Amino acid sequence: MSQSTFPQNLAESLFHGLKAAGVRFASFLPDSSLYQLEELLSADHDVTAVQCTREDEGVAMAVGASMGGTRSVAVMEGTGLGFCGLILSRARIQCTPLLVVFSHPRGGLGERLAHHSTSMLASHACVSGLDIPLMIPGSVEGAADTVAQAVETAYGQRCLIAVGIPSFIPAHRAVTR
Amino acid sequence: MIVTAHVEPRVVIGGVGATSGALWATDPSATNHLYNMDFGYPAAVGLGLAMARPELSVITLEGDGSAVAGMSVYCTIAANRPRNLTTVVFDNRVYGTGSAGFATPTGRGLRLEQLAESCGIPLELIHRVASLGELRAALPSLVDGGPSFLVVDTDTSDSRSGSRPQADIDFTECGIQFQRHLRERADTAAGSPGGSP
Repeated sequence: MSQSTFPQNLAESLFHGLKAAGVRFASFLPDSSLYQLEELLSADHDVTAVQCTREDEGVAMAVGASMGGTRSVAVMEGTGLGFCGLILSRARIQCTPLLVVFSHPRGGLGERLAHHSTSMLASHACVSGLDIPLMIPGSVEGAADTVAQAVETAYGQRCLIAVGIPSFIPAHRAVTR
Repeated sequence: MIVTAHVEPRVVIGGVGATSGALWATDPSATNHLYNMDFGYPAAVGLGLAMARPELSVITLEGDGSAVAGMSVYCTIAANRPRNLTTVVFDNRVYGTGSAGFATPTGRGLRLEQLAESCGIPLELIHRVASLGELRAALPSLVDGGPSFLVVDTDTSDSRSGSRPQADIDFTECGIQFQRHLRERADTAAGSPGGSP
């Protein structure tokens, strides 16, 4: 049975995928699930990484950077998406591309902690209400491709895309026999 | 507008209501200006744009209600100190909606310039003006290395939402033109043809 090697390998996979897709601006509110990714982004001199004080502010900053022509990502715990309905609506209406990476999506596995319930429900309400496509990586190694292609899709289609990171992701892609 | 005419190359992000209406009425531009950015977000959007495009002067305009709603961004502005960002708040102490009868936090005593200082914006970059003369006197220091924070003390003459100018452009049209214009400016500066980011 495969086991998750989360979190550091996953953070590196996500980081490399974002860099490979040309993301050069990242906003984030530090959180316990994605902090390694936030640290990698902050340490990279090619990326303007900005720590915000609330998640909707971070999305607004990423919207501004994206409007300026820089591929951007907003990183947060899923609870933060609950604040972001208005600014994400504006981004969608004015056709500003953006990737949102968040933890504890509804539909992910391994969510055994009760206090992640609001994260799952609030994020679900936001992405489903705004009809934002949600991708959940199928493996740690595949997470790089997932975020990279999510960025390409967002900027190719001028749309919003979300990538949800659950508490459990298999270490390797399943092999079908 | 006196502030926006003083800096080049500039882009302006206007907040909802009277600020965008006045911006459109005095200087309509579907390329340099983004109108009616939603309540609480003009400064944050401007911060992201300013950090992504350091060669531009980015000016944000909003009413005091919107500014206080999004005030957490002042801490982020102070932490990152973008030199090319100017935040302008028109303080008339009421919510410019309906009968304009509801006081904002500034109408109940909050001082925006003290709030900005508390968030970490240097005092020498904070200005409060109550007349055109004071505004003109403050302009040189506004544009010489930000992030500048300007509070403009105004009256309530344009606070009633049904009786003031409105920007004659919708979110989609304005957003697309604004973003295209920014891309073209970047491409022109880089000497390359236009394309998607």
